[in-house]
Amino acid sequence: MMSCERVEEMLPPYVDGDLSAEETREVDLHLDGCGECVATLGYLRRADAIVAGWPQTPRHMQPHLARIDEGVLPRIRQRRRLFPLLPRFNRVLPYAGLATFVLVLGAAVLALSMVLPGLPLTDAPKSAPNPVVSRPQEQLRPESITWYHDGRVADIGKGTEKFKNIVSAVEQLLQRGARDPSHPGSALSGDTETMKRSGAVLELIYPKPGVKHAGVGPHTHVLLRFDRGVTVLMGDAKYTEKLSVPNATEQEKRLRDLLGLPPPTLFAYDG
Amino acid sequence: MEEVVRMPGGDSLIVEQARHGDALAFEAIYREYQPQIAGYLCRLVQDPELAADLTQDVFISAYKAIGRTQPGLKLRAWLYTIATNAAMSHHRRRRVVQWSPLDDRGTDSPTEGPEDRYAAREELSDALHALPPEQSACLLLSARDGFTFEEIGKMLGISEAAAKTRAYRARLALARALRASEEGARP
Repeated sequence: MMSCERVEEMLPPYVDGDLSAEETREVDLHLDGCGECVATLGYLRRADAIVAGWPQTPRHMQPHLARIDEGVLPRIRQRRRLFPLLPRFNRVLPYAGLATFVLVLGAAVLALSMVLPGLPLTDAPKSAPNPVVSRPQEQLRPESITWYHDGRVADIGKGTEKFKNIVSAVEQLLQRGARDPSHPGSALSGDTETMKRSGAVLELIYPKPGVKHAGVGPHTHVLLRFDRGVTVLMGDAKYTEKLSVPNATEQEKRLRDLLGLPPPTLFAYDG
Repeated sequence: MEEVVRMPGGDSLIVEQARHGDALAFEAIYREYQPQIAGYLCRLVQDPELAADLTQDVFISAYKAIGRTQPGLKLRAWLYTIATNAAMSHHRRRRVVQWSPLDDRGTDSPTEGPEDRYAAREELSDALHALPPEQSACLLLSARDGFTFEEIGKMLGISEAAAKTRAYRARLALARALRASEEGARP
């Protein structure tokens, strides 16, 4: 028969069902005749329950959370003020090397064609138009739509009439916003302080490869971010521009109605 | 219509924005994860002041480093890894374990009412802090924060089996502490 010490060590995997059938049988046998180990098993189960019930943030930690904000947020915002174009630059940088390579290659080919005039450069087939860009806009429908707010998510199912209405409304919104000369790109670059208070994001995920909306650039995701009368379009990682959309408050309300979502607590429909 | 579930990895787009230097996206990440990282560190170091300092360090380090991460970053595990390393580094620097004997906390009766249950929870916090930090980290990450032992192993640079063993030992230690506390308190 196993010792109590050995059985105690086996109790956590015993509780989790991680022991072999043979080990489980031996522990069962021991527990049948050992009140001490049965008591330990009871305390183990209780301790497990207590740990599982610990709140995410202990009560005595709560008063210190604001101090963490004071230490972290200014650092983030300072960098944002100092390097407002950093995201754009970061995204462009990896392509700079490729562009240089293409230029050098082009120059080399040109030089070769001058040196070797018989080179059959002119016989090269013309490249076919990009099949993605040339597809009619109507065929490019999102695969899914997701609405995030306050860390929560609502998925909108496929193939429903509501889905079509939402897609149609969002695409109209995208194109109107992108074409509106009174709302130039990056209009909101200085307005991020307001945006931060909203977690409301409508995300459309398009089938790969990317979709091209007027003025928005190629991407597979489109984000519509709402905040207090402001709507911002954000593409995926390849998309560097941000565009505002006119009448954003009304547009958001319309989309929320279509989605069947109530207005957010913090959102003010004050136009 | 608003089905309330946590974003199922749905913050990947925000993470990608942050990876590409979008400070606003990182701020959203900070707001989402600050309470749980602070709570985790508070449990690990058992000192809210210190946990606040470490949480600041975690997010400032993460902000500086996120641009160097690979696409498809598992953000939550990454943040917890940074937090665990911060706590371990602090522990190595100080090499001080503050152990409050459970008997001194004065539980007068077996835990039944809400106040007693709260006392038991907090006593176990003390017992947790008395454990080697690698054990308490394994326990918290698995039992409280929902990581698998495979994930924990990767986070701590140990095998899955080692992570599991550490969590087992921690659980048994807490069970013993709970027992000692209650049996010691009985008249």
